[in-house]
Amino acid sequence: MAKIQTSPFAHLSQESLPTFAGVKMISLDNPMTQYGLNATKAFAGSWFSNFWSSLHVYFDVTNTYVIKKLQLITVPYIFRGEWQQELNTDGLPGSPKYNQHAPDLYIPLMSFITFILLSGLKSGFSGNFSPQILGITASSSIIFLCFELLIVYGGLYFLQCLMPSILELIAYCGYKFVPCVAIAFCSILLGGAIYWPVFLYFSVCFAIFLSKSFKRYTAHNSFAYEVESVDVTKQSFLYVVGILQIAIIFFLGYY
Amino acid sequence: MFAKNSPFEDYNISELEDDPPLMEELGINPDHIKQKTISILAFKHVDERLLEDPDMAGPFLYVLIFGGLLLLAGKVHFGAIYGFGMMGSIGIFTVLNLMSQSREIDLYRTVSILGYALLPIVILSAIGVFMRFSNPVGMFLVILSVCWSTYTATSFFETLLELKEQRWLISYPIGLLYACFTLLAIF
Repeated sequence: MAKIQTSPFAHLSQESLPTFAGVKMISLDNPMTQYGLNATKAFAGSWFSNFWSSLHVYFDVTNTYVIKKLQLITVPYIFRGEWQQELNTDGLPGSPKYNQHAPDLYIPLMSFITFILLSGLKSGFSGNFSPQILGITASSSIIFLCFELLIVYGGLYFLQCLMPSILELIAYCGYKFVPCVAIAFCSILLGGAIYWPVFLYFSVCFAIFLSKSFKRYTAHNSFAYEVESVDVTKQSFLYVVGILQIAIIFFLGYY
Repeated sequence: MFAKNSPFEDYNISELEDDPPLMEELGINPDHIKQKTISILAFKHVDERLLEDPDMAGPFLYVLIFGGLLLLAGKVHFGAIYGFGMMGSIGIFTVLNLMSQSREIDLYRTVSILGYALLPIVILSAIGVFMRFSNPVGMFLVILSVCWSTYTATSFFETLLELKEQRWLISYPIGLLYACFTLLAIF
């Protein structure tokens, strides 16, 4: 006679499981239930749920945060002095709700979508709209972003700076869609002649914003000893980053 | 069981009498649908109890009426409405779940709320059977209906998800979604 084994779900009773309008959906008699419950337990520690919860921090934004951040991106010269960030216990930037200078992913995502829609609108006004244009703009923007992420990440790594996490870097580099949206919006409203002054203004402001934000990473050294003098290479890397942004905003608006 | 009592009866009648009425079995509650419609049209605050009971019948009805009105205006866009609506709903569902810190929402409820808030755009398409929207009055009506839909959907989501300081942040993607919907349908 086979040994009677205790069910792994002995603490569950049929009444405690959820039902759908009175019909029991999870039946303890079914051997597939064990498979399903194991799968959900495996999901809880999986890479997807970890990714989701780390993504959650970057979306914790409020109205005032977004307004101040947009001000920082479009008129950064108003905010003088060092841009202090409060850090968490594990060295990551704090939640955007409490910290003005922390990166977030809401603004890059929304400005990316707005940029694609505005490009479609612009091409619609000049007469050659097709649904393919939206897809082409989206994929070319993402390729430019990846290319720039590689350069910036590689530069920070080889210069032995404090390394940001990938999501932070995506957030900072994704902020460039805000000036792209502003430039596209101005050129739709005010006509094509206004393009160059507007482009120069917004891209230079964004280059200033990003260089000042990256100062947080280049100011540190990843070695243990303190370095007294300011490293010229790291300073010029900040300039390179700034000029790179201007070039990329130009190429993004070119189509 | 379903036995015939005589050659002239198809089924035993007493078995059929035990079934619940058809509408209740399908989950369609016309009273709820009517209450939600009136609260959207009259800007009344929706009872949370109504929001807790999501149903797809109201939105389905609205989408069918929308498609029918567009058909009357000469545009056949059923596939585009369906595809774009699903993609937009999944996008909004993702953004809402990422932004809300204390509560969660499921996809069914998101699609239900977005479908109910489509009502002003259905009214716009009803007007669109009779007039073109290229003149300033038309543009004003388009903008008004998009704002109305966005306001309705935002207030529903705010009630469900307890997002107090993020009101404009959720109204922006919802506004983009409804603006694209309107562009798709009207032009």
